[in-house]
Amino acid sequence: MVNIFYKVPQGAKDEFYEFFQTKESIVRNFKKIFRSYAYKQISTPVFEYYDFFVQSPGTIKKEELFKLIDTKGDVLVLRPDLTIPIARMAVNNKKRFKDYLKLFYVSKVFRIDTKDAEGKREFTQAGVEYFGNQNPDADAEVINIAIKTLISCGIEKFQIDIGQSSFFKGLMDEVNIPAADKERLKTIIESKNFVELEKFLLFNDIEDRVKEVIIKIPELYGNTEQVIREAKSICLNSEMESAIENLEHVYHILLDYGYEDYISIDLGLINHLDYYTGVIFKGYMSNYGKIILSGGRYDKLTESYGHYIPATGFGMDVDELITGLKKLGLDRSESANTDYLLVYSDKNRKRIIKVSDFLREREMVIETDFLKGSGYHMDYARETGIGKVVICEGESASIIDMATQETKELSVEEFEKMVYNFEIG
Amino acid sequence: MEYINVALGKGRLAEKGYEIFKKIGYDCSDFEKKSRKLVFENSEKGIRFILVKAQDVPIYVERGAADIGIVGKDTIMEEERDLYEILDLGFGKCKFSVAAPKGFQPEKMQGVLRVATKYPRVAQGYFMSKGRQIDVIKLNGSVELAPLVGLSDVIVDIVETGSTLKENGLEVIEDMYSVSARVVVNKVSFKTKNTKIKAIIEGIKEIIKEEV
Repeated sequence: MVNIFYKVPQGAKDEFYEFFQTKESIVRNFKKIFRSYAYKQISTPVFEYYDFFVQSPGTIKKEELFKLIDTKGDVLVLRPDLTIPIARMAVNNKKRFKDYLKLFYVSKVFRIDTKDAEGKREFTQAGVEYFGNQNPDADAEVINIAIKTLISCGIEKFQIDIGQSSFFKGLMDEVNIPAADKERLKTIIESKNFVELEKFLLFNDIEDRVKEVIIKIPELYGNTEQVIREAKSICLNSEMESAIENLEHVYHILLDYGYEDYISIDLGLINHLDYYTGVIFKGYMSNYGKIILSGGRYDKLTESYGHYIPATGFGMDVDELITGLKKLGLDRSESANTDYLLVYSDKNRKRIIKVSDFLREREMVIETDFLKGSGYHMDYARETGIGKVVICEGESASIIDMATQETKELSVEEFEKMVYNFEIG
Repeated sequence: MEYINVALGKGRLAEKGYEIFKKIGYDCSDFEKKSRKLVFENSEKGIRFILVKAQDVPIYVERGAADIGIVGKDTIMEEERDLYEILDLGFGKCKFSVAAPKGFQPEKMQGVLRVATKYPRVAQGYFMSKGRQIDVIKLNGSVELAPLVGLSDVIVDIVETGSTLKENGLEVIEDMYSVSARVVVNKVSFKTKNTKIKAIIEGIKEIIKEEV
């Protein structure tokens, strides 16, 4: 048995303050951006019914769920995803909004990566969900917000890949093979596995005209206008055609936002969550090999909860983002250092406490301590990066600037006056 | 300069993999000197080779520590990592096979089949697709030994010529999959370093064609 007093379970971790401060400042920026587009923050339960997730379309894999059993014998799970519960929330509150519902979240999700037993299992996600608008403008707005959040982190080089899930779905309508084989084909295309793709097409009974298109899909990425032109020329049915038109439309709106440098198109982009019905996208930064955000349109998901509401959104893996920022040396931690350490003694305690509260109300960070000897307090101030130390002994006070080591001697009364006259800052 | 990092699985694949890169102009004089170094750079060409254990190539590529990897399909199948598998290099050809002591008749065996292998996921997946329950015994080497000392009934391993099997009194009873060396690419690098990576892949394609 491991010593449980210093171990945390596999996939969980303590976030000590340096890390947490970085995370907080990133999340604060995100929230500011989300709010500036009139998205409102919500939260959903940490645990939900197992059946809710398993029966919802899209399907997160069963083995990836953290399961719990409650006292009634119901099987619960720690939420593995936020889009699904938020979609339910939108349906449940349908009466309360007429047109649009714009929501955002910053929450933890829990998933067991079955392939990576040593991997993380608790993730912080931040994202938005935009309900009630099926126009390409909503897709573009959500992608635009995603881009803004990345810019707010100071990332200069990043890329958003956009695809259209209906394009592939339309193509699959032309293929008459068993569902399991379709799944396999999807995986092959998604991993741009040209080797297996050729073999697959050789051994499966698919019409030649369809084969010709399938083989081109993994290559449909990169130069945007060219990809769109090529894609248009290979459409086999109206679903594929309208998918491309829709993608082009969204792309043109994004051009008006002025973000063309960040956008590229990949029609081989297929999301594993098959609740997506339209434009889908993934975002990553250069020199960091992991996907940090993904999203897309999921018009049908709400239907399974009883009411059709078109929707689009994205989620960002905040932990992955921070790891990436660290790798690129972009992680800025706002250190909330103490402005003043006020050291009091018995005689002046009440007055110093009052002074400290006054300063705190002026948004300064103030620590207080009982006098133990000036050397002790100076050491503490040096180690923790405190700006100034004020040592008050009886009626006399000395203000020491830790940076310059300048010392100013005065009386406690004079110090009080300085504070209340706003001469200290 | 933006480097392209290439993970090579130590051993023969690394040598052959490097040869291909050399042919398309990404040589690295350091690599050719026999040394114990694990990282080799050519700063002019912006390429860096890293030598890792073959089984680790997929994770280096998945996590983006390497942009490109050269690795056997056997390892790719066992690791099941999230990456792009772009090219079949055509060398390092062998087969995933089930082997057993001469005269062993699996269909006559009752109960759960005991399978010793270095590739538990591949073995499990294969037998599951055939509806046969197995008991996987994961070994790290000398798999041929297992049936001889009664540790397992059969083995699942990659077989090139079959001579090791023969010498140990084993024979192939079933071929599972063909295997060869592949080029894998990190999904993000494929996009963010596209120009360079595409050029490399096109170059390698040409080389393969010439050799075939």
